[in-house]
Amino acid sequence: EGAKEALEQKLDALNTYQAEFKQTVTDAENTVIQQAEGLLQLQKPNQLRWELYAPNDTIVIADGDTVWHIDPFVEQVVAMNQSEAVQNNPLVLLAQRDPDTWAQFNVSRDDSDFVVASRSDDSHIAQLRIRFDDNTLSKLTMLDRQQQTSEFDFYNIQQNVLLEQGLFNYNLAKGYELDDQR
Amino acid sequence: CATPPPKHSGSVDAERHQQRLNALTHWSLSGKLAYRGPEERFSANLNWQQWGPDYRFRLSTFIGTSLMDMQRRGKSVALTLDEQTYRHRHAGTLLENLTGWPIPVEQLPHWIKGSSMGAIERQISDNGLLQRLQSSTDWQVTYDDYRQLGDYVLPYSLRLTHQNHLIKIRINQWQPIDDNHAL
Repeated sequence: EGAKEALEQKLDALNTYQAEFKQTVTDAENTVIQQAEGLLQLQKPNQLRWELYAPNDTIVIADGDTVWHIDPFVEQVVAMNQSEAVQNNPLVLLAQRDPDTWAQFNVSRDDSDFVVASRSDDSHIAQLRIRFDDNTLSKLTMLDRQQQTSEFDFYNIQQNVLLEQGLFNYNLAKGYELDDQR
Repeated sequence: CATPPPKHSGSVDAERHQQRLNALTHWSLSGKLAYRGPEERFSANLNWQQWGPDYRFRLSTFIGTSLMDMQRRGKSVALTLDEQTYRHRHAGTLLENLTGWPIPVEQLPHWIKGSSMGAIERQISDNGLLQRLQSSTDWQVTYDDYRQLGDYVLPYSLRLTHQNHLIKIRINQWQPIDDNHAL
């Protein structure tokens, strides 16, 4: 039914994407258990920067090969192969658009959302819902296997504006321990 | 999300403050927990809900997916990890057996409020607030960043050390619930 192709087309139209977001995590009983705000930046074909503002201060950079997860609170950086990071961090899916990665996922439509589900059941994510208002990426929702929902509502959205390349390269912060899982 | 209240500057009567904390039995908080041990280091988002002796202690990843969900209901404790649920009577043993993390789950509900309940040694700073405690199980807890929230003064940052294990907790939001109305 072409849901995957339609989604790929929408994502393909995004040469770059930048938006702030409010993140709300709720449990199966709809209790809010976590909230944060941050900034998401995408650069076609396979680069991403995802930053949580203070007090949460976490940064994820996908430079095309490696996903760097920088965590100031524990002074650690975790490095993972970008293709492997996708299973447990579907945000990276937005920056990993090659066919063999997408072959691991089914895509269907549920009213205004594209619903992306992993074919492998050892992924923590049961479902990733991607919402476009026309051609604007407006919302991401992740549902994990404990029925915990993490919603990212985007605002101040800018699509296809020039983004500075330095945003997507990473150099090890002094004093941080590197946990290299590549 | 709610910004934390300003730093606490006044002072309290140490004993009355401890009694007030021990009378605060229904509350919840969200923040961050970091663990640094000999073999492993991680940080996760923390959510803790307390109803008298019962609690729900959860850790989630930074993208919001569940890492660990531990619930005490009366005598028994259930721990859910990777969609498997395990049961035991003692929370700390259950958690350490399955994850290797020596988090003092049973004492945390007191220490996280700045209550020295169960401590064998404690140090009160001159503003009447708990600065450091030492437990019989060889945990040392130090506090900073106390803030006023309603008529409570609560810590927003604490460090727990035990041999070569370090746990850092930073609280973004406290919700004390007075006893007279449920969560």
